[in-house]
Amino acid sequence: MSGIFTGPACRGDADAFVALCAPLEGMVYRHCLSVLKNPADAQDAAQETMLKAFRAMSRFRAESQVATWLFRIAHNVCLDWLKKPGARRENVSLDALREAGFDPPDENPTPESACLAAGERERLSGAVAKLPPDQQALLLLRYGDGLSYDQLARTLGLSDGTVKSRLNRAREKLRSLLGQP
Amino acid sequence: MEKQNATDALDRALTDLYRTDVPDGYRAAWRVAIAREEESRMKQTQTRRSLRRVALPVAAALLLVIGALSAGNLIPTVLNDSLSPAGAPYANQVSATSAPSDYVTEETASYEARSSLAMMAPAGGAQYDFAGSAQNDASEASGTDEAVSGEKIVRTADLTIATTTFDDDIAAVSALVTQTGGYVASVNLYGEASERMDRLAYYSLRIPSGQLDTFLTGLEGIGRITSRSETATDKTTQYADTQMRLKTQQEKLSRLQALLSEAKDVSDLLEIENEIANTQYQLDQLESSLRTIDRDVDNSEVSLTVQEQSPVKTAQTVELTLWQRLGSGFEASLRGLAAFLQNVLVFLAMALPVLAVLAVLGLAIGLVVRARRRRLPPEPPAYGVEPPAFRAEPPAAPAGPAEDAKTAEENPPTQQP
Repeated sequence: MSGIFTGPACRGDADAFVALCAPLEGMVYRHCLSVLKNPADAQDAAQETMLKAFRAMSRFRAESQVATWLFRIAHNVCLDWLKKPGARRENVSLDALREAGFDPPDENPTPESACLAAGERERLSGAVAKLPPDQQALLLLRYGDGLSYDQLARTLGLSDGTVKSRLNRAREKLRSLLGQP
Repeated sequence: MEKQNATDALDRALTDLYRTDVPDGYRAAWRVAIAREEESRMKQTQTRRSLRRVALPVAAALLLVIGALSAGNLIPTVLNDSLSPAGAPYANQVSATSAPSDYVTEETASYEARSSLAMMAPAGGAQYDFAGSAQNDASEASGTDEAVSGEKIVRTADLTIATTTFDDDIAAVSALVTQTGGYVASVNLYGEASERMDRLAYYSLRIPSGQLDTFLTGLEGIGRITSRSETATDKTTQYADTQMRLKTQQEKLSRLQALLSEAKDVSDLLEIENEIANTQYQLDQLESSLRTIDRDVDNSEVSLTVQEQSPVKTAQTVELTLWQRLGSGFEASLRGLAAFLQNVLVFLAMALPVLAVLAVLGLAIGLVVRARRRRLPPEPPAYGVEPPAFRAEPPAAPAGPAEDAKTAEENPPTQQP
C-alpha cells in the first residue's frame, strides 16, 4: 500500500500523507477512544496524532510499518492527554457510544447481564492494552475496520501467512491474559 | 471444538469492543489540519526564501563595507617615510650643550667667532674694563669709595613655541638670534621628520639685553607661544660688594708688593710671596665673578623650546558660518566617499584570489551533486500494488470465523486429552 506514497509523504506532500494514512484513521480513533474513554477527547487526540505524524513524517525511516508507527504516536498522544490536568476520564456508556454511531447488538437483555458484559469488556480492553503495539494495531484494523486478511496484508505490507500467524499469536496471548484455555 | 468456540467468542468480544464508527467530523478535521499545516509550511519556506533573497545581498554588502574599512587600515595611503620633508634626516638626538665657559655649539659653527667676541666685547650693555677699574682703584687708595657703576639687572626668559612648520620655524629662530646680535649657547634636537613623530628643539640662547625685547617680540611671529616666563634679578648689591672686595684685595696686593721690596730675610720674602700668591688668587676669583655678572647682565639667557605639532593640535578656534560648515561637511563627505570607494577596490583586489578558489570549489561540488542526482533511479513502488481504495462503506463484519476455520484447517488444533 504505502510504497508509492511514503516517499512523497516523507518529503512533505500533504496529499500523499492523506492517501497513506486514511486507511488507518479508524485504527487511530478507536485506539484513542479505548484509552481516553471519551469520544470528544478521542477525536482531538486522533487529530493531534495525525498532525504529529505529518510533522514527523520526514523522520520516518520505514524500519516499522506505518500502522505500527502511527499506533505508537497515537498511544503517546493519549498518554500525554491523560497527564493533562482536568483530563476527562469518563467511562463510555452504551448510550454515548450509540450517539457516536456505535450500535452493538444487545445480547444482554437484562440489566444484570448488561453489567456483566460491561465488566467483561473492561477486562478485555485491559488485556488488549497489555499486548505489544503492533499486535494491538493489527487487532484494531481487523476487528475495528473489518479488514480481510488480504486487505490487512496490503495495508501492513506483509504476506497473508504472516498476517494470519500474527493474528493467531495476538489471540493466544489475549487468551492467556484473560485466563482462558 | 471448544477451542473453536472460544476463538469465536473472543472474536465476537473483540468485534464488540472495537466496533465503533469513526465520526465524519474527525475524518474531515484531520484532513483540514494537514492541509493547513502544509500551507503554513509553504508560507514559512517562502518567507525563508524571501529573507534569504534579502539577507544574502545585505550580508554581501556588509562584508564589502567591513572589507573596505579593513583594507583602508591594512594598506594605508601613505607609507612611513623616515626622511623629513626637506630631504635631510634628523638624528634621533643632537646634543650640543656647551661647557659653562665655552659658548660654541657643534651645530652652529658660525657662532664660534661671535661667542669669542661676546666674551671679549659684549654687544651691548655695560663694559667691564680691568685697566680702568685698576686706575680707579688706585685713585681710591686714599680711602674714598667709588660710586657703584649703575644697576646690574640680569634678565632671563623661558618660552615654548608650538609649530606645524618645524623646519621653517627653527630657521627663523636662528635668523632672529643673529639679527638681534645674540648667539646659540646650546641646542638639542629630538625626533625624526615623519608624520608619526613630533620633533622637539631645546635652545639655550644669549641675547644682548638691549635687544631682548626685540627678540621676544620677534618670537611672537614664529609659531604659537604656548608658555612664557621672564625673570629679572637685581645683582647690583652683589656686584658692588664684589667690587669692594676686589678693591681691598688690590690694595692688599700693592702693600705686599711694597713689603716684598723691603724684605731682608729669606723667610720674610717667602712668606710675603706666598701671601701675594693667595691675594692674586682671590683677585682672580673676584674678577671672574664680576665678569660673570657682567656677562649675564649684558647677554640675557633665553631658554626656548620649539615643539612640532600636527595641524589639528595647533588649530586655533575660529567660528565658522553655516555656509562654511555646510561646505566643509560636504567636502569632507566627498573625500570620505572617494576614500571608501578606493578601499572597496583594494578589498576586491585582496579578495579576488580567495573568491576564485571558492568559485572553483563551488562549481566542482555542484557538478558532482548534479551528476549523482542524474544517476539515481526514481523511487520504485515498494510492493508493486495499487493502493487500496478508501472504504466509504461502513466496515462489514469480519469473516473471522470462516477464515479462522480455514486457518484451523491449515493448522489443526491439538487434540485434547
